[in-house]
Amino acid sequence: MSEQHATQAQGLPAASGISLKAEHYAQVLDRRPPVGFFEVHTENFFGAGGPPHAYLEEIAAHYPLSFHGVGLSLGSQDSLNETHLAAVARAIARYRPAMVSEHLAWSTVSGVFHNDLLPVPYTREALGIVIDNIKRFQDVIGRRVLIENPSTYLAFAESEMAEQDFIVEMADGAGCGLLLDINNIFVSASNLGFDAGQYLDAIPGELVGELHLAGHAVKQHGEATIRIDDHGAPVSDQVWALYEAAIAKFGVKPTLVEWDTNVPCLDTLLAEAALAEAILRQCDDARREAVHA
Amino acid sequence: MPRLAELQADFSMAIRGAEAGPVAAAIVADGLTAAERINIHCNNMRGTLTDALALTFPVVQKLVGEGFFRYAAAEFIAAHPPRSGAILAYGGELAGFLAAFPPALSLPYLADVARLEWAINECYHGPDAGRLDRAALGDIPPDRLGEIRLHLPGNHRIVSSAYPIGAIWQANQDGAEDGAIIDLDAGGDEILVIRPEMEVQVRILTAGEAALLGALAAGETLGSAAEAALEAEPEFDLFEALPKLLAVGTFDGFEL
Repeated sequence: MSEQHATQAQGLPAASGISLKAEHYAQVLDRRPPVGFFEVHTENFFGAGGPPHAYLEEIAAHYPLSFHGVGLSLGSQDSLNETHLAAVARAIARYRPAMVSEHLAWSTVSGVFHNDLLPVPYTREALGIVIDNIKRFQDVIGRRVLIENPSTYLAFAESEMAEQDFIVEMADGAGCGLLLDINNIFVSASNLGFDAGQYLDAIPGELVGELHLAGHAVKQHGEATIRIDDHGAPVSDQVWALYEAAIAKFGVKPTLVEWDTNVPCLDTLLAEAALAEAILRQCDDARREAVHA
Repeated sequence: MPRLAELQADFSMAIRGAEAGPVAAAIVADGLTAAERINIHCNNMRGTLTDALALTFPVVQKLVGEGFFRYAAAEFIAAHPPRSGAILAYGGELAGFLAAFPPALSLPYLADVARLEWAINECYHGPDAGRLDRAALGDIPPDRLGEIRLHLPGNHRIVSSAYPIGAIWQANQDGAEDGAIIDLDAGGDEILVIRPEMEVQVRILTAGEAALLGALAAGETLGSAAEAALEAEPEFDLFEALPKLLAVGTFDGFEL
């Protein structure tokens, strides 16, 4: 099974892509901007028909797609919601996207869906549950997925290992890849006081199938600064710097610029993607020179 | 109970209520209190769900104003949290909630406007439908026209209200003229919501048209549906109403 999954995993081009937002559907078709791929939230295509599908069908004819789920709740103690899983599988069967990903998080308990990516304690118990859920997900859709590291605002006292060690064990155990969100690493490192560089150092590059970049908000709580991963601003300078470090370590990886709240005009997203593309190309050139020298 | 299940049950209770409760002891405080940290998730949940409701119910929000809408949405989310991760399908219970929400009782039509907006949302995401052209009925012998069963597409909705919610909805669309005066005693509306192509159409029906479509949707023949229409509206003229309904894409097929 895992061999069969592995062969389908490298579908996205090693280039930059952007979130596909409803506000931009018509413009994307009119202008056909030069981006490597578009990423959508899988759940936005759970409907039976209507404009979202009509646009996505057309856009899929011109660009590789990445289906990024936000609601499967892989970290739930409750077993996966089969209705949700079936809807994800239907959407994936319909569009055959180049990449499928989900989050290391939970959203559902006792049938209530919280519409937020809630934190998982880094315990052996949770690790086993997450691995089982990812395996079930991969079995149902018949392909390998990438799992994204969370943005965190709190740590559980009962956690037994660092997040980076948890996700590497998770990927090894489930046979999945990692979607490393550079903004999430930065936000979590800042909120919880760990070293983002050490985090990157713990991740084997071959597990990384995609990178995410996004903007975040900075809030002050008295003395304490909290960074909120709201996907509502340009990528910050510190996150660009961490991205350069990640690319230098991992090599060229498909990179998505996300933007989900206060969605700006398409050109703003394209400009962010162009910045990421420039960093990718620079890294590519440096590698080639190193090989020739 | 397994530890993870217990932690998630406690966490859920904390982010859906105001107090951290037993989960607080499981969270490292460090600079911010456990309650402040949990509150970040509480705000995320309420904020994103409120935004989702505002997208689905824009006219309800216009009628009550953003401040009241956010307050009502928070109360609604607490009472009716989503039961599924398909957020396109969240908000079906808002109309029923508003009908019994004491602070909204001064707007007795508000719940029906919410029902209309929910019907529009369902139609928007519903299965795509074809459109039955008038020409397709041309081959039917006139004496057998009464026997046909016209089919309404699966994405159609008919919304009835004792209030003129069609006029209220139209007056609150972008580009509608300001200052429209709507007489709440003018009587109710029967509204057809259809999507023959990509754009959802909202049409106020006459009493006869509503009775006709209600009977057709229930599977009756055109003949008996026309009788129902005449009963509801004595001046109803099938040969005037039917071409109009066909022209806007009301039907997607028929059987004879």
